Amino acid sequence: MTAEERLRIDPEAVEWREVEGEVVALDVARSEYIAVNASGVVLWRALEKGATRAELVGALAAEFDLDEDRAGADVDAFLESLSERGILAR
Amino acid sequence: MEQAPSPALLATAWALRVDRTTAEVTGAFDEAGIPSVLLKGPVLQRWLYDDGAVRSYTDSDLLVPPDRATEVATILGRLAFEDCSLAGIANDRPLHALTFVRPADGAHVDVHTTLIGATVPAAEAWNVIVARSEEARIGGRAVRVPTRPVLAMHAALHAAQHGALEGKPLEDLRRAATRLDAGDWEDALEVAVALGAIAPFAAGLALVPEASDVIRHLRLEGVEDDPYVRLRATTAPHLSTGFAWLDNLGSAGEKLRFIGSKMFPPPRFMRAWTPLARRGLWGLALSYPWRLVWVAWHVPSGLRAWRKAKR
Repeated sequence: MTAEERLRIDPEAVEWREVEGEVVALDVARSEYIAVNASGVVLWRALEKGATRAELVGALAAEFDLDEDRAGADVDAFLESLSERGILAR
Repeated sequence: MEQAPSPALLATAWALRVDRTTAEVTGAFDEAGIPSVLLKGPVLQRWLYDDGAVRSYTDSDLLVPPDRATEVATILGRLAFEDCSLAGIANDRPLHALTFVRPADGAHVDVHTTLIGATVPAAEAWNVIVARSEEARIGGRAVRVPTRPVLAMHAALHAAQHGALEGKPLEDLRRAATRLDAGDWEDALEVAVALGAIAPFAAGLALVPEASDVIRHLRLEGVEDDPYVRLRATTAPHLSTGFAWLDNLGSAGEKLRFIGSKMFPPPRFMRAWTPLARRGLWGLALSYPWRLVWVAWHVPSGLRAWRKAKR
């Protein structure tokens, strides 16, 4: 992943809706629900439109008042989990 | 202890599954060259409930060309769906939809061969609807859905079908009444005319105060309805629409066969009608005396409602 690479949720791979401030998502290939916690919702919204890693880190840090290292670790973990499911598009 | 998910979250999670079933089933239809149009469900959710409210739905309603219905049933059988329709009654009203359920995951598909309330032949109704459909992405694939005037028209028919006591169809219609402009309502009327469904269209609109301007604009005051439409719009009690149908049957022989079939339906009907009949041969046998008790219990209220609607 490069710094300028724009990442987004692959609309072919997942069905999802935002309800009551939470994201309800269904991994289409596995027919499994994906649990997205509060910080995940912030990242998910950004990924819906497309965002770089830096933009995601900035969004998370701003929303939850985190330092960049901590936000970066959370973002990387989140992106890895999405990537493992094959629902992240580049 | 984790908090249980809210009803809205559960409804949404289930709706996503239904959308996947829709994608699976329409994909199988497409492979067989069978077109389909998705009615209600996610289409109404996206258009009318974009204010954060959740419109729950638990099945896929698909309109198909009536002459392909047998093939559709075969395809669904291959996908492990079972026909659970209340069919098989002699001289009964033609069913506007057949119900299929997949026991393995509870997936539920209603296959419509026409719209309830339409009086034109089913093939004509299909042509009217498919000509006014567009593509939408549902469950990850492109699916044909009705245009908004058709959705609004169908919302009125649906409200008329279920009557004043059923919340969801009325809420759909309330929202449609306030969102569609006058021009689109004129288009909706045009569709109702093309389907021969003016009476239920007007009856449905009359159920929600928010549609009173629509009724005036379309000059639907005083549209004559028939007792059957009137019954439905007042949430007809059990058997009342059966009495309406019985009244329309021509000969005494047809009436007797209908009554006999209603009292002693075929096993397939019984298994769809009551869980008792699905409990082996003994359950099926016991379901018949239960059917007689049930019919006898509901005859007085059904007859009263029918007589009142006829006046």
